[in-house]
Amino acid sequence: MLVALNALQTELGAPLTREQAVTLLPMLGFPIDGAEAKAGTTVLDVDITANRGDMMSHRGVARELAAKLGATLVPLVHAPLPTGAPTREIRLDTEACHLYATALLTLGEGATPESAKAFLALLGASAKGLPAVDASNELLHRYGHPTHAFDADTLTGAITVRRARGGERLVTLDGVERTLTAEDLVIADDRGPVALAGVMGGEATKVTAATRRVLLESASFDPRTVRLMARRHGLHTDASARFGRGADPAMAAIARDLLAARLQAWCGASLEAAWTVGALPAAPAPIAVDVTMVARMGGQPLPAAEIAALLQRLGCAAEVHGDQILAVPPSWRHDLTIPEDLAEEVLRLRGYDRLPEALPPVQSEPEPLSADYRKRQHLARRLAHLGFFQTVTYGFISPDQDAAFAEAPEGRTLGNPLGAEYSVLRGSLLPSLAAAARHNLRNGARAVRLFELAPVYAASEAGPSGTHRLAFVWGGTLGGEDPRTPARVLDPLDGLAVAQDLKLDPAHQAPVHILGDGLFGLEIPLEALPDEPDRVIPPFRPFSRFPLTTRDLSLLMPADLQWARVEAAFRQAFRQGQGTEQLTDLRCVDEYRGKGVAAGEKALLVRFTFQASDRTLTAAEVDAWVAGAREVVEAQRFGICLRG
Amino acid sequence: MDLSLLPPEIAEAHAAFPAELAACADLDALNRLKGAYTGREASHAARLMELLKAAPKEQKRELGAAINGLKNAWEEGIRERQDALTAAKKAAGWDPTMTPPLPARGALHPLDRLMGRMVEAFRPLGYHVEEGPEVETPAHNFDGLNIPEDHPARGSSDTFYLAAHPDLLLRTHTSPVQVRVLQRYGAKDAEGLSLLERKGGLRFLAPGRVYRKDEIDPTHSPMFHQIEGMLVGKGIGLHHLKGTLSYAMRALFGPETKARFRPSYFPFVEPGCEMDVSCPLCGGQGCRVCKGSGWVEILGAGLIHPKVLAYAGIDPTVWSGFAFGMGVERTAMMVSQTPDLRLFFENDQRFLAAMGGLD
Repeated sequence: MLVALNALQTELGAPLTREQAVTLLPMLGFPIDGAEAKAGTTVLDVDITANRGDMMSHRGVARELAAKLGATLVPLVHAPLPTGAPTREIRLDTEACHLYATALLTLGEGATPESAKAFLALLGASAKGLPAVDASNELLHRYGHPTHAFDADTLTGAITVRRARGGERLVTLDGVERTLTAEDLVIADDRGPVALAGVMGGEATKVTAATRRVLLESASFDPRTVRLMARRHGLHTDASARFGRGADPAMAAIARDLLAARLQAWCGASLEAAWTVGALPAAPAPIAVDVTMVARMGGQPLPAAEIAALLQRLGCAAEVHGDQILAVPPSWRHDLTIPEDLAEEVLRLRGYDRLPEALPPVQSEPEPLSADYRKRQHLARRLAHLGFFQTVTYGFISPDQDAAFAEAPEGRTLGNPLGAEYSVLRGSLLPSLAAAARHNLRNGARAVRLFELAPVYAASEAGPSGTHRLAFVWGGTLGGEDPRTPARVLDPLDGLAVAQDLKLDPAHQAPVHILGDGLFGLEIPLEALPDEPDRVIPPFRPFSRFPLTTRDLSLLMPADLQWARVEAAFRQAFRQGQGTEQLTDLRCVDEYRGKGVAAGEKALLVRFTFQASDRTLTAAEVDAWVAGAREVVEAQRFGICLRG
Repeated sequence: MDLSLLPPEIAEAHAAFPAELAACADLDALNRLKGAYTGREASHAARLMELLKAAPKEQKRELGAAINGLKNAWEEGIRERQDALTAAKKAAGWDPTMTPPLPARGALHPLDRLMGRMVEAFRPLGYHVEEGPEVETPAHNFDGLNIPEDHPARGSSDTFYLAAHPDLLLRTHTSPVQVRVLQRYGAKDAEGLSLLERKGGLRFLAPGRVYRKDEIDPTHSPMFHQIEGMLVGKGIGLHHLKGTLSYAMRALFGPETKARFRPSYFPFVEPGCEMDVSCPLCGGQGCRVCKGSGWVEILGAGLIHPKVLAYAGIDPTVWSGFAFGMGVERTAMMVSQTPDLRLFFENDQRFLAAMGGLD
């Protein structure tokens, strides 16, 4: 909200520097979004929180500053209009309007004064040249109470404040025809709605240059009703912003008086009649705040008298009763309803910078980090160390992306997505990772290694349920960038090696997805990966101090024979023969096809590693074990034989 | 070793040995020296063996010991020199300035790192981590946090709702975790005691992903991260909030960091405040990042609203506490001066390598 420094000074009746305003307001809870020098003063853009309707005017901001500075505002002088019998019937048919103050005036000759025009111009609101409109606008910015002027000669019969009847129509001042609902609050005459209460007037009854007589409206409307109406019609006006946050009901009649007085002064208007319907809501009951509550919240005891004095500066009627302060908030502070509200006001006005600082006493034993959280932290670190980059991608993707890796998206679809491409809570992390990987390839990355740890969703009766998964994608070329590291293309085994390193449960089938563009992907539910061990150091496992012995066999076999079968056959042969206890490792260390190996065959170099826990193995016994196992395997029908 | 039994030329040769050894600049020179001292023929060692053979029987034992000592000393010296020269020869073929192999280098995402650092900062104070679902109910996301029925945040223009479950939404903040944890701690067990009463207090952090219906642009994203913290105990006030957050900011941004608290308003806290820290980039001198003020806004906080405690079944006249919440992207952008929020979700490896780390 924009406020002009010179107009704040007028309300304060005292000088106020730009520096003071810019420093004090944020420390009272109202950040300054901008401060612009304009027409010899400064216009501040003050951020007003949603609970403080009373701050939506120059007077409101000045009142807050006065409370902080211990100053008093210039009294708001107004001559109450002589009110009498209504000249037009006004009915309040709803609880959403407690009070409706009005006046009927005949306009004379005259124009909006330059001072009012200048004030409105400072706030970016240009004067319309119609005194009734400009005066209403000026009052709103200065004192915060929205008013409205109807062309009285366009109104027919009684004025009723009521809920709209569904389907009723009203063309508002912005020229838009609006269809009303039964929740809308309207001002109506005998022919129908003439204004959206607290939001905007109607086009048909507006004041124009031809208007001779005006009916003024200054009412008190229910904040919630106005908020909902403004939102329903997408119509956020200066009036709805104030009534919506709660305008001071006590200002309704005063604003009417001030508006009438301006029209009398500006254009020689003459009063025909003024009258008020309804009544102010009863003053709220006193709220009792205890000194111990203030002391607890602020961390230091404050004398009851000081608490009461601070509340009085904010406009509360406050009395000290022993350790309690009984306070009645002023009419403009509808946000103060419970003792905590008052304690907050005391601390706020004193300044949070004056509160002491302390660490809270330890009242409960710390709890450990959950196993699930630690597992994810551990996995992320492990993968980063293995050369993978952690990614963060959106939790929703397009139905097309989702379909490749998940069941039908019903039950996981958003009702109001940003667009189709962000409409499904993803059933797999792979589509997002593949997209990120392609982005990297397009941007010149030679190798891509990405992972994400995030929930994926499955539909259920009760709604989508999320479970965390780890997914990683890899592809491209590694190495070839220094003399010692030959280039090689990443292939599915690279990812499987990572899964093995992470100790993926062997019972879990994790297929490598071929994603195209040389990219591969794996996705693993977290429960298939081991928890981080709770023990600081794992249990001791004895190891042998005797030397290792290795034997390499070069074996020919059909090219399509999988290594897993070869390995299984050898392990089985050792189990049946000798040396199984001493066989500590069995692996393929090289694979060869080409010259010297027949088409349709391959040669594998298989390495056997032996170690005994109690002695040094002899060459003869190891040779015998390997030869024995080889004979057993060769005798099976795999087509495995020793390469000559 | 008694050299007096030996001919003077041997003693002289032995005295010269260290210098001659050191003078051998390569393996050839060393081989020549080796031949002269320990060679099988025409060497000092060979002469000594002849001497030993010719010596009277009663001297043999003593002379033999002296000769062995000399031979061992020469052989050991030659061996050491040989090792050194071999190593030097090998090293001469090695270019220490050659392009080295690149070790595998991955990284954690900067957002994850920042949340991890927050957790690290609060662990010494005994905070653990609580998490909750991203698909939430309005009860946990709004009602339990004293957010009014007509609050615009509840509308479908601000919050994502599920098509098949209009009563479910994507959480708009990490605060529903507060509601869930408070309800768990507030529930009475068979003996009529709540977890809160049994433990005497509660403190935790809740990091996580949240969703709001914002179009994607350099400062908005429909998904982002928050990290939230809460402490519940007895007699907790704003001074405890100030003390805790001031400590945490020093842990996060460095020991010189100062914190400033301003009043603010959030429905789920009372009093509410916002915290600024002295600009981590200029240290409070004023720069582009802090727009010259020396302060940057970092988080919202406050004492837990009595209605939030009461909603979870916790008596606000007995228990009190504070809560705070930080936007992770906002802080990450501020600290790193990243110009565009979208970079955090684009996952370009160049960005991740530069911004992320291994812890």
